[in-house]
Amino acid sequence: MEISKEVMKLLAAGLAIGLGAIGPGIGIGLVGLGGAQATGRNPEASGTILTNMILAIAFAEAVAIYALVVALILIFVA
Amino acid sequence: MKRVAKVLAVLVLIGLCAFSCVIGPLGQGQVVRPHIQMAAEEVPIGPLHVPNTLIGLLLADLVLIGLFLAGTRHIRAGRPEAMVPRGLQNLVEAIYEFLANFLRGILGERAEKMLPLLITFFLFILVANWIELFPGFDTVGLIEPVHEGEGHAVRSVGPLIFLTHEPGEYTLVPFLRAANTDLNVPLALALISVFMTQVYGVQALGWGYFSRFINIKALTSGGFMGLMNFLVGLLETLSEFTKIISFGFRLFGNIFAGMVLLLVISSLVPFVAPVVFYILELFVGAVQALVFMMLTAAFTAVATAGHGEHH
Repeated sequence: MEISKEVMKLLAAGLAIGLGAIGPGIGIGLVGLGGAQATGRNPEASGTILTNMILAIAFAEAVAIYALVVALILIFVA
Repeated sequence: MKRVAKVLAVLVLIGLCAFSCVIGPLGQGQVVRPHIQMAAEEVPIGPLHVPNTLIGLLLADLVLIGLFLAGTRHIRAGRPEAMVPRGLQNLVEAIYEFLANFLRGILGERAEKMLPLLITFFLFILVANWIELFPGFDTVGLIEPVHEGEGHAVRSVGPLIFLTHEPGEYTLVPFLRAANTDLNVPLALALISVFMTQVYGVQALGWGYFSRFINIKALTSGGFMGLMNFLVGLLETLSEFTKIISFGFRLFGNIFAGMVLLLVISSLVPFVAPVVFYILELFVGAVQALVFMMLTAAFTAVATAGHGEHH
């Protein structure tokens, strides 16, 4: 296949979301680890831990969302 | 006898899987590759061109309103049997109480004023996500000539018309599609969420709430730390706008990706395999609804907490 603008756009979009998801993936994994450990040590606090865990996951996930936005812009707008 | 039936059922399932993976594609049973489009398809209804996500949204509204009107009819009529809830009223009350207690745990006594908004967020997003999983969504619609991209040939069986895997010039415009697969709906929800956070902040703290963003007092108090506090305020302002983006795209991305996943898996292995992903989508839909509600609650909790009280 000839390397056209279209091909480069698709490749860039794939790379953007693929590489952009690595960091948040590790981050969310670490949050889950911390949450599970905290719940194991102090099961009574599981409600508060869940709240804080979801909040932290959301912040980590936001980075992946920016990568998603970039990928969508590359495919549909650029 | 029961065991034989079980073994038979498993064998039939394996057979269907094998058919769909191997034998099907070789013969006429090859399935249609899905056409994936980010913007909502438009269904002509009379003179109007209605986006199919709008129909999905109205359907979700109808389900929710119907459920809660039916569930609260004894309460609204003031009948004595409302005191001892039965049937649907029990369900509706259980849902409400579970969510309300959950939110009271996060927000404390500030929760009461925000409960209607937060619970509406949760229930609406949940129903709008789960409604996607009903048969007929994304699969039943009008066969129209394709404008761009590749089309399919059609084959009619009785009064029904099916797309086939052969290339042609027709495509499917589904009647129904989940509301959150259209970026407009999650963005609207995100705008409501962020705007109401500001409203609750002003209600709790008065106009001094905005000193969170433009901190003149810190700037005029002078010194390096004063300047830093002012700049942190500017960062807060920026983060309000990124909140809109991350709220909107989180919901959209998850539900749109779910739709694409289901369509692709259904076209690769039409039997049994999609069930696993349907279960995953049930989970994702609920988690996204929960996350939207929880994040709004958490941001509101931050916004209504007095600024500078902790000094």
